[in-house]
Amino acid sequence: MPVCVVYAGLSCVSILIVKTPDDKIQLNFPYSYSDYFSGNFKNKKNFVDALIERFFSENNLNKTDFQFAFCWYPEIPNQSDTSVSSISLNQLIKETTDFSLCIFVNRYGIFTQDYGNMYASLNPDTSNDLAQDVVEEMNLASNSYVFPQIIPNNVFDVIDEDNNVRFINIEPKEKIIITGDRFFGRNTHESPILAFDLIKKPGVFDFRIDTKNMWIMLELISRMNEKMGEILSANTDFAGGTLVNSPGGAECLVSGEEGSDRLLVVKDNSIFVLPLNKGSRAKITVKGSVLNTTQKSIWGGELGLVIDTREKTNLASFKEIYTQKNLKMWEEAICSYQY
Amino acid sequence: MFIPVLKKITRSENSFIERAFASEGTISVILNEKVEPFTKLGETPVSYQILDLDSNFKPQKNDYIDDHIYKGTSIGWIGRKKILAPFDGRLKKNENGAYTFYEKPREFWLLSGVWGFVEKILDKRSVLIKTQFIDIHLAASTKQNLSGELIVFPNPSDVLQSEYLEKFANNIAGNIIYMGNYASVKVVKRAIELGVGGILAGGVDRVSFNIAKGSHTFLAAINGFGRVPTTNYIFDTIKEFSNRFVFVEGDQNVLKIPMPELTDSQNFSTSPKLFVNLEPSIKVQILEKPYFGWIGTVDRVEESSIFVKLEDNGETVEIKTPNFLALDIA
Repeated sequence: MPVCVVYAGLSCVSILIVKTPDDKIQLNFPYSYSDYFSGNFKNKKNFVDALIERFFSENNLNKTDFQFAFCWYPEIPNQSDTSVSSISLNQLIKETTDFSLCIFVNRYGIFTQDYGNMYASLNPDTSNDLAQDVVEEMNLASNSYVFPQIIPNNVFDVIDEDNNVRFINIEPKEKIIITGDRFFGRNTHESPILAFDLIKKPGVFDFRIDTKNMWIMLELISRMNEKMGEILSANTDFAGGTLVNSPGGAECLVSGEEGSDRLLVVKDNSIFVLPLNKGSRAKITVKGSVLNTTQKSIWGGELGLVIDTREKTNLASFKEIYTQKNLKMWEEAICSYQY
Repeated sequence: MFIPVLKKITRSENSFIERAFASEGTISVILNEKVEPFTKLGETPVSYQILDLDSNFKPQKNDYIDDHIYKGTSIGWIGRKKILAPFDGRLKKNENGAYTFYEKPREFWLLSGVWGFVEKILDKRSVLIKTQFIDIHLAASTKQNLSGELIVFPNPSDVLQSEYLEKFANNIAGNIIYMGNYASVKVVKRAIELGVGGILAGGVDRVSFNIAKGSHTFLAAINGFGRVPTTNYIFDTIKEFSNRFVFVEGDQNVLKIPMPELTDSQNFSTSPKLFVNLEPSIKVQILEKPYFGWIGTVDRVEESSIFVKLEDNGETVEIKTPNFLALDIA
């Protein structure tokens, strides 16, 4: 039976209709329910139902022909139909059989298989002589709470918002998928930097960044139909590459498939990106002041080979080096490759 | 692409409102009776002033408890300090052993406040009325529910706002004030000192919100946090109902304006549209600095942004998708 999977998040909703692995339609809707919509929608369930109705009607589809599964953030609404498969995001991540580490990020925090912190409190200050920038920051945080779909329109606000999650220390695995409302539809250069910031431990990591909530969709499908989930997963492209975390500096020998060798020396406190085409293979040997000599075969990807020599495990010093000047330099390293 | 429609003003037909006494009273309406805002639903004796006495308070005589005491009479001691009755009333001993002095009860008339029909009478405590409202949906509010007269300041500058507040000072206690496009922290603090029931403004700072929460005063931002102006069509609607007895439901973020009957208005439509196609000529509300809360007409749609012609100054500005919402107005 054809399936329809739905992720109803904090700031976005994604719907994926799969008739066959080759015949699928996806809606990535950059809005979600908030109480501000109470004049038009009774609750989140009502909002999502109306959206599904609209999407099916636009595509001349009949809901009764599909088997549905939902993933809700933060919790399954009370009004949900108990006969339809529904799971909370937290539970979905905990129950995944994906051997990669899933890092789900939204503006309030992070979930992984073994870590969950989704609480960002609003500043309770009542003083009337606060600096104007503090007042603005508090107002922005409160507006983002009321209108969850808002994307900051300047880099300073993006950094402020990302700082809610940037300095959280999580234990990485060799393979990592980074997903969530924070990365949804946002292909700007601040997004990969945030992804690299989240992976702090020295080592070599295979990372993917999901900007379409596809990881959640594929998990939902796999729970309903494992085989279909496997086929779709194999055919799904994520932006990704290899991240080398080598605080203090790195020397990296990259040996290409065609036998060419290239030695890279990356100084401390930098991000260096080496393009490696998708599908191409290479062998790297890395040595750093903290990272022991490591050899690994890697695949190319949209983001190539990223060598990050920033000290991120010491949060105090990481916060100190997170200056505008440095950020500009790191962004340039990514931009010069991507754009 | 389609986007959700934001309905800021809606009609609420066949609504129910419960009008309740503070204590048991005498009901003077019957089931299905037609009521208007000034219809008396009943009356109950109410002590308008209450004085909670310090835990070290010792009464003058035990005979005083529950007896009528005249203003100025000594009622007891706190240490060596003699305590005089601040008004005519009675001294009562509470369950925890402390004492409270209650003003002599006066009859409180409970008025309907709305047009409608009596649907249910609950013991001698409250009356449920079937009625109709215009609802104004607020971006954010503290959680109190209250009712009172709506006093509308004419969207003045920040300086004039304080002048208005002081000018209306005798009339604002317990009432709901619409302050203007923006209510500063200073003005919110002063309004709370003057005993207003509730404060509405186009935008307020988060700090003001925290202050209002702490003092259990209702505060609402119509369009958002910060200097976010009230959109013209909402201000026009609020202005139309100045001095009307209104209700706020903080837990629902709604200002409810009772109506004798609901007629169509240009300020809101009854269109059932939940989503609209994002295309030139639709009206949108912007949710991005420096135009947060402004409204305009979509001029052009690009892949990751739109160009909006602002209603206020005719300027065309680029707004990132999805930092806007469609509005349900013509």
